[in-house]
Amino acid sequence: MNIRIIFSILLVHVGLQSHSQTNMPCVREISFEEVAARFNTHNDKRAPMTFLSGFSVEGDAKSLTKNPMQVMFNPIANVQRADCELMRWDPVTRVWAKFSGNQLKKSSEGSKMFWSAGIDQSGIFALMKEIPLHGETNLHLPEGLTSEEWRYVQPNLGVVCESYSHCQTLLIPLPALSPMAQITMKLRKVGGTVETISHMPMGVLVGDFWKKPDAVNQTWDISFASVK
Amino acid sequence: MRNLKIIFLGVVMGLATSVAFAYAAHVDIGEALKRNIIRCQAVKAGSGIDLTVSNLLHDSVYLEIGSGWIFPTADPSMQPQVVSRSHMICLSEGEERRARLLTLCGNAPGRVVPMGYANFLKPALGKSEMVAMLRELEPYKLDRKNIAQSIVWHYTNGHSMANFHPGNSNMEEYLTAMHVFQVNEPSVVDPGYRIRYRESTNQDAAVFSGASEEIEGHVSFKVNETTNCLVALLDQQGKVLKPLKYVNEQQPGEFELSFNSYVFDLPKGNYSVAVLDKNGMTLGELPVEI
Repeated sequence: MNIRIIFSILLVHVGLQSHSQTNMPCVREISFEEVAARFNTHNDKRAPMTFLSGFSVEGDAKSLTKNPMQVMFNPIANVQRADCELMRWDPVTRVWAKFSGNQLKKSSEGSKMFWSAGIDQSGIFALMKEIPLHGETNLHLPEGLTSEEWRYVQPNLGVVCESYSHCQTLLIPLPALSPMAQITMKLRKVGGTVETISHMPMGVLVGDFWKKPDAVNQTWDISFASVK
Repeated sequence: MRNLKIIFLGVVMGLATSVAFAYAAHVDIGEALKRNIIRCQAVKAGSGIDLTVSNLLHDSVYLEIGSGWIFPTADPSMQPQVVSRSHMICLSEGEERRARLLTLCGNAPGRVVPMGYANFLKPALGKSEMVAMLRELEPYKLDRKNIAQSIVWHYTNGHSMANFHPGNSNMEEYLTAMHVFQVNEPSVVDPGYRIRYRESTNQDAAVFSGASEEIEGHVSFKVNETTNCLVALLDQQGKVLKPLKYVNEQQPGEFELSFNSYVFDLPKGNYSVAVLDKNGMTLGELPVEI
C-alpha cells in the first residue's frame, strides 16, 4: 500500500517536473539555413517573401498573453519599415501568416531607434520583406520524370519556395532565378522508383541559365545530362 | 540719576515682557501643547484630519503646524497621520477654530483610519530628514500624489526607492519629486527599477496593498560582438521566468534598455532582470526584489 502511495507521489512529481520543463520560456534564433531546411518563405497567399531574421518563442501561453514580449529590430539599411512584416509560422498550411499586432512600430530606447512589435503567443516568427517583382519561372522536367516535392533556396534573396504536388513542370513564383540558387527534388521515374536530388545549383541543372542572364518569366528545361 | 535707573529698568522689563508675549503668541503645536497654550482635538476627515484648536491664553496665538508632524492613533495598528502641508492657525483670546490638515499615511501596513475617528494621541514631530523633505516638497503641492506617500514611507517604513512609482503623478510631478528627493538624500541609492503595487479599491494613495503588480526599469549591458539579446526576468537560480524583450542582431557597444513586466503571479523574493546573448551568456544584470 505504502509503495503504491510513494509510486503515485513520484509519478505526480515527475509529471509536474515535465510540465514545468515544457512551460519554461525560451527564445531561440532561427537562421536562414534552418528556414531553408525546415520551412519556406511563402506568405499566406503563397507568394515568396524575403526572410530577414527569425526566432522561436516557447513558453507559458497565459504568461505571454498577460506579459507580451517586445521584439526589437535594428533598422536594416536600404529596407523600409513599411515593407516589412513580422509573421508567424503556420505549421498546418506551411505558410507564414500575419497575426494580431504584427505591424512593426517605431520605438526608441534613449536616442536609439528600433522597429518593434509585441509577441503575446508562442510560435516561430520571422521578419519578412515583400518582394516587389512578381512573376513565375517554369522548370520543365525531362519526359518520364515527375516531381513529388521540391524546394528552391536562394540565399542571396532570402527566399525558400517549396511544393508538394506531383508535377512535371516546377512552377517557381519568382520572375527570375539565380544560377547559384539550389534546388532539392524528389523525383519519380515512370517505372516507379524515387530518387532525391539535393542542393543542386540551378546553374548546373539548367545549363541555359548562363546564356540569358536577364530573362524573366521564362520556361527552362531541366537537364540531368550534366549532373553526376 | 535714580529716575534714570527707574526708567531704564522699566524699559528693560517692558522689552522682556513683550518678547515673552511674542514668544508665547507664535508657537508650533508641540510647544503650544507642552505649555498648555492650546487644547486640540483631531478627527479623521477626508484627505486628512480636522483639527479643532482652543486658545487657552489671554492673548492671540499664532499656532504653526508644520509638515512632518505626526498624529499617532491610540490603536497602533491604525495609520498615524503625517501632516503634508504647513498650516498657521491664528486664534484670538479664548477662540476655538477648526482647520483641515492634509495628511499622509505614516505606517504602510497600518489599517485605514475610519472617518470620524477621534482617538489620536499627542502629535510628535517626525524624523528631521522627513520634515526637511516634506518642507521642500510643499511648494509643489503633491500632497495627494502617490509619489509623496511613497517618500513618506521611505522614512516611516524604510521603503526603498524601488517603491517610488509615479502612480497617479504625471511625469513632471514625478520628476520634480524625484529631483527634490535626490537633492535632499544624495546617499540613497537608486536601484534602477520601480515597483507598481496594486491600488486599493477606492484608489486611496494612503493604502499600501503590498502586492506588487508590475516592475519597470532600465538594464545596462555591453555587447562585444553582434548578437541577439534577450532581456528576461530570471529567478535566483538564473532560470528564465519571463522573456521581456528580444533585440535582433544588436551590434557591439554599451546600451541601456527599458523593461517592464507584470509580476503579480510571482512570489515575493529576489529576482534579476538580465540581458542574455544567443548563447545564454549574461551581458548585463540588474538585481530586483519583488
